[in-house]
Parts: sequence; C-alpha cells; structure tokens
Amino acid sequence: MLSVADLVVRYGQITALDRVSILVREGEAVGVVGPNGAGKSSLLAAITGIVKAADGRVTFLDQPILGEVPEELVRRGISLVPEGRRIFGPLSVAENLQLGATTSRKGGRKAPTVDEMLDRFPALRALYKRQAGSLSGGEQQMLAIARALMSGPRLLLLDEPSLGLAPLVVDTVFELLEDLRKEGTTILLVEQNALRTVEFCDRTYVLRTGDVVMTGTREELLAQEDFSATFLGM
Amino acid sequence: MTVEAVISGSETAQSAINALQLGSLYALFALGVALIFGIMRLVNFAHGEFIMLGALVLVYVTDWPLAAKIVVTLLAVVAIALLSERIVFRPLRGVSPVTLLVASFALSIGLQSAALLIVGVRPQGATVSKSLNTFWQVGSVSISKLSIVTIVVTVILLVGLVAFLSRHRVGVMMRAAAVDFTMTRLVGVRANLVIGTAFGISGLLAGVASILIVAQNGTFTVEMGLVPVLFGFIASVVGGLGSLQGAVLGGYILGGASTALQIGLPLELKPFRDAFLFGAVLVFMVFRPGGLYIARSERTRV
Repeated sequence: MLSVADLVVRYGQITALDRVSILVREGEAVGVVGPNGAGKSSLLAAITGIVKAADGRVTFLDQPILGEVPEELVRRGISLVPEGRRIFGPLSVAENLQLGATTSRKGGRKAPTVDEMLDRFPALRALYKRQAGSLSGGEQQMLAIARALMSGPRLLLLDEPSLGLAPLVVDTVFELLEDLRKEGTTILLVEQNALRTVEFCDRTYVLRTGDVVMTGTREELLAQEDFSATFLGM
Repeated sequence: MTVEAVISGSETAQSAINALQLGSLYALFALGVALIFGIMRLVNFAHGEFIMLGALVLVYVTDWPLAAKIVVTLLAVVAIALLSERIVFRPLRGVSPVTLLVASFALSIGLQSAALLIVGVRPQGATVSKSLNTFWQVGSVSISKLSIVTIVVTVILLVGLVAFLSRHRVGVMMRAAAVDFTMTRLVGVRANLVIGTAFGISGLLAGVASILIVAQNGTFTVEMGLVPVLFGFIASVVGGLGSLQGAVLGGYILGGASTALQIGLPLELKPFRDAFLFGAVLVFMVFRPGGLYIARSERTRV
C-alpha cells in the first residue's frame, strides 16, 4: 500500500534519512522504532509532504506521492496523528473534529460522522463543547486520533502516540489501535516505546541515525540479542 | 450648570467621538495587517497600497452613484489583494518570514509605481458623498455624520468577521491555521483556500478604509497608503501581533491616545503629536514586548 524506497531527507548539512526503504502492505500494522534523532519523525514528515525529500521514491496505492502537498495526501487517504498531538487548542473539541472531516466527502471513501466518532470516543462526547486546550493529555491524544480518523483514512500514521501519557492511557491507545487494525485500517506506528510497538505490530523497522539497521516480525526481533540489548535493556 | 461646565462637557463628548472615529480607522488598518500575519507570519506592508489603490478607483468613479462607487471600489480592492497573493505570495509559500517581508515591500513599491504611472504625482480630488461631511447638532455638540458612519461601519465589520470566524466552515479553518498552519493542512484543509480567504477579507477591509479615508479627505495621493499601514502595524503590535482581538483593541487605544495627545499637548508641541505617540508606544513595548494579547500559538507551541 505504502512503499518508501531509498528515501533521503536532509536539513542543510545534516542527513536525517539516508536511503531508507520501508514497505507497508494493506491491512498491516508496521512499526518504526529507534532512539531520538534516528529519523523517525523525518520519515513521517517526508511521507506527509511536510518536508521535501532530497531523493527517493514514495508510492501510495501505486501512485507516486513525493512532492504532493499535505492536503492532497489526506484526500488520498493518508492521515497523521502528529507528535505532541497538535490539537487546535483555542478551538472547541467539536471544531477540531469538524476540521478533521474537511476531506471526508472527497476521495470516494466512507468517512465516519461526528456522531459515530463520539460513539467510539465516549469521553469526548461529554467534552464536545469544551476548548480543546483545556483537555488532559490523554483526552487530547484521543482527540488527535479522532480528528485523524474523521477523514476516513486508509493509512493511519502515528508519531509517538504514547509520549508523555500515563501507562493506563497508553493501554487505551493501544487497545484503540487494535480495534482499528481489526476493522482493516492500515497502521504505520512510529514510537520510542520499542517493546509495546514490536509486540503490537506485524513487522517493525529499527532506525538508527537515518538508517534501517534491523527489521522483522515481533518473534524475529525479540529473538535478536542486539535488539533486546539496545531497546529493552535486557 | 455653569457655561464652562457645559462647554467642557460638550468638548469631552466631541473628543470621545473623535477618538472612536480615529480608533475605528486604526482598528480597520490593524485587522487587515493582523489577519494576514496570524496565518502567514507575513507583515504585509503592501496593505497600505491596497488602500491607496481603492482611493485611486474612487478618483475614476467619483461621479457615479454612491452605491455603485462603493461596490466597484470594494470589488477592485479585493481583486487586487487576491491577485497580489496569487502572483507574489503564493510562489513564495514556505520561504522565511524575512523573505516574505521583503516581497511585501517590493509589492508595495511596485503598486505605488504603477499608480504613479497612471495618475502622476499630483493629488487628485475624489468625493464619496457630500452629505457625509454635514453635521448633526445635538445640544452644543456637533457630530459629523462621517464619524458616526465610520464607527458604525467598523462595528458591523467586526461583528461580521467574528460571526464568520466562529460559525463559517472556512472561518474555523482560518482560526485553526492561525494556531498551527501545517497541522491545518495535515487535516486536509487547502492552504490556498485559507490564505486566499484571508487576503480577500484583508482586501475588503482595505477597500472600506479607502472609502472612509477619501470621504474624510477628499483627495488621492500616491503615498497615502503609508500612514494607514504604519498605524495599522503599530496598533497590531501594541495589541499583540497575530491576535485579532489585540489588533482591534490596539487600534482603539492608539486612536484614544492620539486624540488625548491632540487635546493635552501644549500648542507649540501639537505638531509633534505622533512623535509623542510613538514614544509612548516604545515605552509600552519595553514593559510588554509581546503586546496586550500574546497570540496563543506563540505561547503554547513547543
């Protein structure tokens, strides 16, 4: 569904991604883990059109998408839950959700209504009229995911969704992702929480300083001493 | 009541109306600047030229019926603002704010030169409506119709803008874009729609300002855009760049302060009123460098 080939991203002299290739098949949940500065966020930024790639090819549903503007990618079915949530704080929860539905009538996909979304996130229903910035961190993360789902995406990208959340809330996030996967949403999950990611995803790529250094299924990665030593402290 | 008390009372009323009229104009200038800045981080110095070109249109249609004059002027200025965005600023999407600033200066000079080629350096006369320059006599206070029209028109525009931003789909997009432009695009909002609308509204505000200024002065000069953009910029800085409430408040504060100085300064210092005004702004900025409203996006963005 999503194919990233030899992707290069540079910021001035610094190379953030050096010929990274990643494949996400329809219906899969794919993880990308790695320490700070490994290039995880740059990968998502390049896929979503926020930063320009210096080289490489990215295709989505067999169409090249490198160089497209972010709004066009949403229209085609890619939706991002960004790092730090980036909800529109001064706007109401309702307005945040409505903005998420901007492209819902385009692209021929079936997008959920606000009401259906509130059924999925009952906590947000009570907060519907509240200013989004006044929500707790966990509630904001739920809102960010709900907002991303409003466009009815085929591929959901998540950048560090568990960052800064209480363990109980992290559980909720992963339960939600499990539901989405069962419903057929393809997921690309970028995380520092390596163990959770590897356990959740069908396959996981390990990035380090702009390179893919390991890749495999949860069994393959957990069996590798290298991986356990680096990421799990075992 | 003594005669002196009546006179000073009517003077106070007169000054209050003057301050509100001036403040309304400054608020209109400031809103046009702040609207674009909030979304693009661009201080559009060509905003003054939008106002100047509106006045130029009025020179040409000065003999038309009032309604036609107003409609043609507003349409022309909105079109100029939209074209400026399309031709100058859209190709520069994503460049640094400094580059945008220089581009806006270039556009400003370009538009001024174009006007100079069309009409030359001599001031031109234009009228909006003669009846606007008549007065209502209320007791000992004479109120110019124009001052009331200016205040009322501004309030209507403010209410309309608030309604648009809070209720309309595109208005909500614009508020989101002012918080986090990239994220707004990442939920699927077209950047061109939001920026185009911002320039359209900014052009509308500039067009209204042209009409009100010409109604007051009755003249057009090529440099007439400078003062509006300067006061608009200062008012929006005082209010807090990027905040629309701040821009309006800044405009009225500036209008009030200017009127107060006009009354309070000794006769021999009155010619230097603006110097005192800008000095006061400078002192204010030392104590509150972010302005009155520090835009949320500046405060919370990590």
